[in-house]
Amino acid sequence: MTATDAGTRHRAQSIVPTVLSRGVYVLLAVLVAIGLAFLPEFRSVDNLINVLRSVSLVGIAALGVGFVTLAGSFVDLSVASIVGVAGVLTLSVARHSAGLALIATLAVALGIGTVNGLIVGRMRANPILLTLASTTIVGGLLLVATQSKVTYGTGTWLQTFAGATVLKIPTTVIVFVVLTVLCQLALTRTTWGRRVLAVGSNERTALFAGLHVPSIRTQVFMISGLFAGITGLLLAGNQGSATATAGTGYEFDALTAVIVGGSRLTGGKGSAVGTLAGAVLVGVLSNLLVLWGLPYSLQQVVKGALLVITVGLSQTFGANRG
Amino acid sequence: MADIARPTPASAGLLPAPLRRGWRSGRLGGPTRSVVLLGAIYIVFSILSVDFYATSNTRSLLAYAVPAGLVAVGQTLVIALGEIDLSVASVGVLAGIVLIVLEPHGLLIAFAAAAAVGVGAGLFNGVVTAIFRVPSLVTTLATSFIAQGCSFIIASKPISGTRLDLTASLDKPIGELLTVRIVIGVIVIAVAAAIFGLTPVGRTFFARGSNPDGARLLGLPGRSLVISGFLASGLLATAAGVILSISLDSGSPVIGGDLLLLSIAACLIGGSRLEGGTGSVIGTVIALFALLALQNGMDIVGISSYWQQVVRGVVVLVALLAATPSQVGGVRIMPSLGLGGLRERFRRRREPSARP
Repeated sequence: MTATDAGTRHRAQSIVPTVLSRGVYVLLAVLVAIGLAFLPEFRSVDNLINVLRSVSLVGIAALGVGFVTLAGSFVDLSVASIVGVAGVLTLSVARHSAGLALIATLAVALGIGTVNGLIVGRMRANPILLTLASTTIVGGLLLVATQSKVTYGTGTWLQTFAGATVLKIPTTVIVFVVLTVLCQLALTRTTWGRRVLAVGSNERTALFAGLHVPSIRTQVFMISGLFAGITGLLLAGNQGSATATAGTGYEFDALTAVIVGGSRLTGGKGSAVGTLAGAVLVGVLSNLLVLWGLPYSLQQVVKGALLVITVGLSQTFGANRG
Repeated sequence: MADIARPTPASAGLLPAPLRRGWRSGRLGGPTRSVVLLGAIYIVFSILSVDFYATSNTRSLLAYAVPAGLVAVGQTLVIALGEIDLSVASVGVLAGIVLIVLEPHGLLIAFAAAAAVGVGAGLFNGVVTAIFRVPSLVTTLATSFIAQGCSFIIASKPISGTRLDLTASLDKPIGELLTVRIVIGVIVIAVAAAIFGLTPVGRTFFARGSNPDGARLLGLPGRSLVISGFLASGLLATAAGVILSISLDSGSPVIGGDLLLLSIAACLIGGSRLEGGTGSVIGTVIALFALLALQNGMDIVGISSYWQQVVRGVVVLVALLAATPSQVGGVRIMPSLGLGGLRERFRRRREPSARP
């Protein structure tokens, strides 16, 4: 057998896996094509911008969760409570000073992420349960503090910023895209990104290669907390009000975007751009369902099916196998 | 560097053996830990309120614990395999709704349909996890999305049942302490505990969970074991949902509450580890009862539900840290910050000759 033969055969075999492991982009293209072809309402610029606006907030949180997943810690469930805390804190402090609100919110979000990260990284606690516990505690304290009342905001520059548009594109979408690019660059072009991926693909090897695994674990949770904080801030700015439970559901929606976006659940493989595509895919699918007049509850079913199908395909055919 | 068996110290005899062992290694075994927790909760709340240990309260607590207990037993089986089932609450709720909706068409059909929900969800979880090798975290998350969506589609607002006689017969008292529901729960849990703890079938669950490759080399079933684990979990969740729906005589997507969190927390406190290969039904059930007693006690004393949530989170956190190993496979990877790690380090410095 010549080398060319082997090369051809290799290429022929790898076409199917390559397409399927990029399933999220294919699926997204197909859905957008269907929408553009058959649904005039989908085609309008306003609708497309609306889709992007609706996914951008979850998407930002998903970028942070993506780092946690890539580093092999599955998921950060505390996103839900951090989004709630960030929103309430922003609006209550913004009455006095918007700048202080921004700093305080991000600091608290970073702080919660740091505590999560230290416990997962240094004490090797199970990340799912630890973040479940911390989200229960933080959410409970927030309920105690607000007595589940709605916090209303005043017209500060934060709200103006979150509600503004540039060339009809909402600022939240711009923030989402910019952060995606930054995350992608951090993952692929920096030593730190390589380290995160190394820890995610094989913790023990990373340890023996001299990486300080606990620090990296801590750092990804810090980023996840910070990004959830940004989401909460923008959400509160957008809506002008915040409740303790505003973030409920964000944790699983973010995880859905990460997994549908092609990140390997055990870590080590994935990208920020994939997460963006995953978030947009979920948004486009929801939008199509609404435009077709299907009940809202069906979206949950479709989201579940999407999860199983994408992961099942990549496990069966894709490069992520094993 | 495993914690090798060391000779009994001179202070032996002051504490019962399991406690002594637990103290030496810095952490208690699951069932012991649960019993200690339960005892502490009973002592504290009995001092705070006379209502807490009244027979009527114990009976309502037991009845309340039955659905959660069934779910937690299923979760124990799945966690022993090294998997997790995030869909228990939503599958149970869906089964309950199906039962209530189909009640007018005859009880047999209604129960069969509810059981079909459990079997279907269990088979789906098992097959997708075992054969398509999707991590169970994703599979069961997806199943919970799907079941939740179906629940909201069928019952967008709560549906009330038509069979109040069922509700009455389910909670008919037997003696001072028991009701029909409690007896059913105890029997199911006892059977599960016996199968899981005493038979070779139970051993294969542990074997698969602690070392999947080793279990396969021994010729133990792999895929069918995972499928049957999820099937059992789905059926037990269904039983829980059916009992909940009958006792409320209504079907609603929101009655599941924190069944999922409770079941996982009970497993962990009761001695399961998420890596698989450990755990016991008895440990889980006692731990679950302790958690529910804590909730009940806080209700009686009058602590607001918001603070209760905080306390619940702290209990899960403490249980998690207590159950977190400082060693993996006998090799110490990272020093633990827990009590066990500190004690062990201290001991090593004190008696270096004990280690080869």
